[in-house]
Amino acid sequence: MLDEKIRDFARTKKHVLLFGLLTVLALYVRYVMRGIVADDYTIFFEPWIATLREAGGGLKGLNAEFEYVDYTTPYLFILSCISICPVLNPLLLMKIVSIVFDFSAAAAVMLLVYQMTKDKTKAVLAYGCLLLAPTIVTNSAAWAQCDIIFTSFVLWSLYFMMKEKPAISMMFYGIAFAFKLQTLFLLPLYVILWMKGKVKMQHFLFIPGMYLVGIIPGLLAGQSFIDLISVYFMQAQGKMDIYALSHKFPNIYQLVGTDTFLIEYADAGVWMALAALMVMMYSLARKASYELSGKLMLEMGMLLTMCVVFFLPHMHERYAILVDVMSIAYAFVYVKKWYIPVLVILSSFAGYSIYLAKTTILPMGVYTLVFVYVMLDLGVSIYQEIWGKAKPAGQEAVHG
Amino acid sequence: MDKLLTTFLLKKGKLGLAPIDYLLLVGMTVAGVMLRLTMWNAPLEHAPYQNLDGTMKLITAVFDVLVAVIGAAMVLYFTKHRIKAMLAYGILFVLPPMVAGSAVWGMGDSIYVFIVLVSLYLLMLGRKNSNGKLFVLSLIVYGVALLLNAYALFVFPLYLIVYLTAEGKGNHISGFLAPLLGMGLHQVLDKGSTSFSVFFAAEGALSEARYETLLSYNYPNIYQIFGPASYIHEYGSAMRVLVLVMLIVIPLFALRRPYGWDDRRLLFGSVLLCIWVPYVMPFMDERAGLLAAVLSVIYGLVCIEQFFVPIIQVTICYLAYAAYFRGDSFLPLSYIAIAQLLLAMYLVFCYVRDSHKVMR
Repeated sequence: MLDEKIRDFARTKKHVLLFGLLTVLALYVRYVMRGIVADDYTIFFEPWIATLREAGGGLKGLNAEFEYVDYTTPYLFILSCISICPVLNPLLLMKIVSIVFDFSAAAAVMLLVYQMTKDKTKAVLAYGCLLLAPTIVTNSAAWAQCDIIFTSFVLWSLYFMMKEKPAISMMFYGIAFAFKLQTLFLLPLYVILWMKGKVKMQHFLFIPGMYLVGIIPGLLAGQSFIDLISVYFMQAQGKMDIYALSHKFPNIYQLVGTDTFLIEYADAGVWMALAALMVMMYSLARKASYELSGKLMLEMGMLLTMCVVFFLPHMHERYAILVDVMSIAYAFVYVKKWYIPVLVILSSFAGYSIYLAKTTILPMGVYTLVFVYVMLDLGVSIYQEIWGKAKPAGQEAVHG
Repeated sequence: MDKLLTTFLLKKGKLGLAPIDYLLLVGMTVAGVMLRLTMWNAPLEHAPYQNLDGTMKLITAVFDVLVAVIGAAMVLYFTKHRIKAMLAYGILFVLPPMVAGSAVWGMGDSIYVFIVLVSLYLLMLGRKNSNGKLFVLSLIVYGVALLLNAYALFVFPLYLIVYLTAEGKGNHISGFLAPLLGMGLHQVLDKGSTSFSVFFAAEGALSEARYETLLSYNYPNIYQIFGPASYIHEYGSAMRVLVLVMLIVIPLFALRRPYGWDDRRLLFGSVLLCIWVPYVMPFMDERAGLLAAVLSVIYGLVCIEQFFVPIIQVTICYLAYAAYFRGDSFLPLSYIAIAQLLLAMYLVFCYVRDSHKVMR
């Protein structure tokens, strides 16, 4: 009798069970990592939080005078609130904030996969995979970084785009932009979506609009409007990062040298990235007669983002996080491509290892080659989907 | 409004081009120019020689544009596909080895690359022309390319193949005097006076600046696997003769199936030769892969399912340039040489497989 009840429960509520188990596991993994203190915390975050606290914390804290800070108002406001929080220490609170967004991102991926496959098991597994992905766990629970915040908003944006609700989608994209400049890595996808009639031009106003909403706390605190809107210009100049062309990120500079032509390659890299984007966007936008499916959207999003971070100089270890999360959703939508998230996260995590554990087994150039392979694989998939079934690589290449 | 704008962007005009095509042309031209400007004054502190003559750099940059244009014309000839031709122009104009060769190193390689492309284009057009005038013209143009740079020799077997497999009547063997003359003059001018022209002066200065003789100067070929400094005289002499003989043997071998040599196969053959010849030829320098890189882009756009070939080839080619600029290679050159070998072997595999299809 009891056995039957257990079996019935397991059969009818298997998704709930799976969901619960994965959630507990994800929480436990993060709990284990709570004690890790990364250099970024001691060098940057700790002094910033101290400065915010000295200025009064909360809204008042935003008036603090920093020697250097490159975060936008929304996250500084979170840090400022953390600085005066009476419970727990700031490091733990920072981690908790990021972990909350880990779950938000996982929920977005779950709904996204469900939207595309209508398969609850796949959706819940995607949720678990995202929560247990090494780069996601490490980014928030070990490193106390906040990349998952903007990433989760981008995922929600993609979800609503697939639900054909472009206004809500662009609103989330705008919120993501208010948190991090790296959101723009995915902007080319939205331009293609516009070309395909999925988004309207006025929806793009959400990007500056949400940024302006995000700086309201700063304005209320009495900060200068110009200072508040110029944070990204300062970041784009990358004055803090000019000592290396790649900060442990597996891109082109890991092949040609991260310390050669520091000034020249930095400028040339931007133009190269723009040129590569132009070629890709042209190829994707010029062909009018294809249906932009959810799978294609994910592939394009990954490829375009990878292309940007592959050529842009001064990329950090964490800058492929958008690709990491999109690749997880992609693998559950298109199971044949299960190896894509494995390879992407492997190459991405190599940089994390060098930063956090100060060790690497293989040279970064190897991970760059893995990264290139994934880009090629995605390129072939997109080509096949847009231009019809292509022949297997090389077949009838000569006489075609 | 959105619909109006997107339709306008894709609407073809009189020339068969849509505004989005013009946008790409302008955008890629701006990107190409800006790439060159950002690298124009980059100092090569660890390299033996850098040509700082602005005129030479400027002339080479103009030829970069011409290479992009002729590349686009060739892609259009093969595919009749304007989008691919546009992409060819854009990709070739921002091709990193071309930018490095013109804006940084200032060695003028685009000039000979352009002339080789014109010659190959004429060679292909000439195959349909039974009186053989275009074939002779392509040989004359090819002679000029050989005069400017000996690396043009890599594609020589193609001319022999076209000559030997031609079906039209006529006596065009005399056309081969042009490449012979070009090669001979190159040897005389290169070794005789380095002040003959800006071009040869730069080549001479580069040779003098290299303080040691090596079987390979940072070029990722077979010598990087076995050691570029061992048995220089013996390996150098033997392999040079071997490769030169192979350049004659290859066309004779190709005669086994003379009917298969259409334009696509010639293009494929040019890529194959430009990868294999410098791979085994001794004394190649960092710039030896440029012709292969440019031709592979054209090939990749013609056979789009093989677009990974130019991606790999261009990367390998640029890594050789980067090794020269840095003074050493960031990745071991032997690794890159193995990657090059794998790509070269894959292309041979494609060639053999395709030959069997033709035979059937």
